[in-house]
Amino acid sequence: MYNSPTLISRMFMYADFRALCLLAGLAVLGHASAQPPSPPPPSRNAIAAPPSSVSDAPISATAEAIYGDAKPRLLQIRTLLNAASQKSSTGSGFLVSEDGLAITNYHVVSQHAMEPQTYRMEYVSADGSRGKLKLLAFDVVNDVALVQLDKGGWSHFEFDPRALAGKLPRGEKLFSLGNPLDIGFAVMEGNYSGLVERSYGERIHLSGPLNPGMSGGPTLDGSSRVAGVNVAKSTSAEQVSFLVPAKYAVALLKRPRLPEALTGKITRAEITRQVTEWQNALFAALESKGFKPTANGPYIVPESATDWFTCGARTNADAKPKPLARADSAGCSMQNWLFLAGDLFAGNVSLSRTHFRTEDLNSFQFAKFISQNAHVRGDEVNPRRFTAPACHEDVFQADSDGKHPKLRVMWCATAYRDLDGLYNTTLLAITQDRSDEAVAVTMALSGVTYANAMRFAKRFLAELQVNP
Amino acid sequence: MSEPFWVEVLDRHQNVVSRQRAHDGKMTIGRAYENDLIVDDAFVAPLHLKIGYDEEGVLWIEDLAAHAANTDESETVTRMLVNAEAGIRIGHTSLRVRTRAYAVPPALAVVQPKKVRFIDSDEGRGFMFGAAFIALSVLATWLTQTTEFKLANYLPIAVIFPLAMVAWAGVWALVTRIITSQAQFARHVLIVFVVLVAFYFIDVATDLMAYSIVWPAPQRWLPMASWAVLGALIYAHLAVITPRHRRLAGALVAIVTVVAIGAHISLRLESDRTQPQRISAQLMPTFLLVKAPSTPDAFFKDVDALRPRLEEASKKEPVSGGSGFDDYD
Repeated sequence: MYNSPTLISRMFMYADFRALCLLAGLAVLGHASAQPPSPPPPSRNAIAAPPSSVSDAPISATAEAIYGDAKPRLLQIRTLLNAASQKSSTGSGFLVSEDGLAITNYHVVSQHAMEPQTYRMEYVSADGSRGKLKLLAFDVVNDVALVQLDKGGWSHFEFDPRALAGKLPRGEKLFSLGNPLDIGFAVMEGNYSGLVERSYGERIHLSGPLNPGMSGGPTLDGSSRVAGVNVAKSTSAEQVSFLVPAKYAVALLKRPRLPEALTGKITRAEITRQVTEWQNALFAALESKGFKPTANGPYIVPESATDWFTCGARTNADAKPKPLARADSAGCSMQNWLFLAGDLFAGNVSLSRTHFRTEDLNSFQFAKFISQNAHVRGDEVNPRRFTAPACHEDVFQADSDGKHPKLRVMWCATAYRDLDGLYNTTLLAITQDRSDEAVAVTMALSGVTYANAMRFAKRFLAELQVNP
Repeated sequence: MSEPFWVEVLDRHQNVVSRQRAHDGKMTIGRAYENDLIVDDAFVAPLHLKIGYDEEGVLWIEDLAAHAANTDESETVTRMLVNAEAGIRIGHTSLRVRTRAYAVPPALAVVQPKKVRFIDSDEGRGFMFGAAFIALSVLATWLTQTTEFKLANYLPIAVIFPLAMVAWAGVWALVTRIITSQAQFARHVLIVFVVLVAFYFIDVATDLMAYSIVWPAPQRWLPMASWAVLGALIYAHLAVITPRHRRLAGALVAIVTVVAIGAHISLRLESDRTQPQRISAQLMPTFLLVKAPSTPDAFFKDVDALRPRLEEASKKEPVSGGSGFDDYD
């Protein structure tokens, strides 16, 4: 998920789980509120036509042709609450085989995936016909899902081989389709702007609009071939949207199918497996890249050596009433949110630091100043999703070599109730070697295994040093 | 000639309100004006009692009224021997009979009242503890002042709160005045500030334990101790008002305190289930840090010890609401 720089910069100051989850929630495009059904679209058979010289045609005419070709192959995907037979969320999808295989986003079908006995899925095609959907496979990490319609004989999309090879030219005109806000199928024009840079995961940067309800819909090249799957947009910038590269949808077609009799335990175990596998690779990569030292007064604070983090900074220099000590903060966060359910996310790594110093406060006042400003700001833990936090606090010193300061360290962790072996952890460490200067560092991880979290934290603390 | 005797009217504390001598060896008691001793008690008959010697010189009490005269031991009698130790109850009035043979205790030695120094009086001590509390509060505020000095930061703790506490003592003094006719305002002020100073030191001690030796448990449960301190404060006030019923007051305050602590713990546990945890210690100057630092291995061994607890907790149903997802499968 990709989020607004403004909100992200605020987020980096602290490991704020609520803010992060909220950001991720805002970014995804599914889960539109219930809307009146869209009117039946005009019937028009579409096939994977060879590239035509649509680029020569006026833009509006190209979009019209694309829309006409694509509409019969588009789906609205609805999640319904079994007990009430009412829509709980809507998104989009598109057909990829004649026998009724369709691709959408994982987050569009996440309610059914998490609770298959509570939610069911149905599709509405462009001609207004409806039917049942079955979840065949999903990829939580890349946010795509494969579903099976209850009948065959469909026209379907082909994938753009240039997109699969990662060779789409920047600036190429693309057309995003879906059912925004449940008001009817629509086409929106944008441009391919390459892959998102400085990111651990792969997302296509689309310079164009996407709207809620279009999640899972296709973004096509000028030849009506799939270049990506609509997934998210920036909430604070205009025309900055994101697509899942088409290769992940193709890969999903080849994945083993989920069992016929789908249960929550099976799907949640699969989600856990995928998240665990992904974050094992992530932490291995983070650790192999290591940390780069960042000077904060006499302290050397670790910062990830990768370029996957987005960082921001702030100071209290202009605060009112005027503080008698400085607190300069910087925070870095990876933007690899994995959407698991409406209020369940995983995959974030946030590192922050605050450098405190004073010439005017005595040691009691300075200690109070640090207490006021250094903490892991968290949100209420949803007891249905997580256990109560368990914490450990102690005085810590990585080494008595004179380079490693005494630290006051607090570690807290909560366990995911339904995803065995995954935890959210926070670490706060404050140097305790001077009465007029200190550094507080925080590390917040979500959806990690305990072993990965401990290993990363140990390495992180070992890198926090002071110049003798 | 018969021996004289005296009938004494007592108040509820068994103090003598009035004393009447029987000159001719008998006395009648009641509300009517023909009695030797007139008792203004609506529950006493016009001619209620007669006390006098019989032919053998024994002092008897005889009930003249339809009402029965009851002794303090609640025996209902119509005629009984006078017992100098036991009282007589008629209506709501307590009486006591004394004869010349009653031996009074020896006289107390006359002691010149000591001149109590101000510092030893309740007023002096109350002032001293009040001043100490204000001084400690101002000091604590100054030690936690992280912005430029503002008088407004000190007014509440140095003036408003102490005045509020004096007002609190005033309320208790008023109640005491109503019940015992003596306000004992200085005693109530002393109680308030003694308790506040004590609580201040408890608070500092828990902060120190949390920071210096990384033992945050006392600080964590300080709010519960606050209830106990409040209970002790109220008990001390009640003990001034009803010194004869201290046990009862203590029992009532203890019950209310235990209920309050129980409710607080319940809310606290619920809050712990949902609230994110923070560094428990209020940081202090680093020279107050006493505990030796843990090595990375020791620290992460303790951290790892949390994992089984979390795993176990994740298998249990959440306390409020259902499980996160459906459990049909």
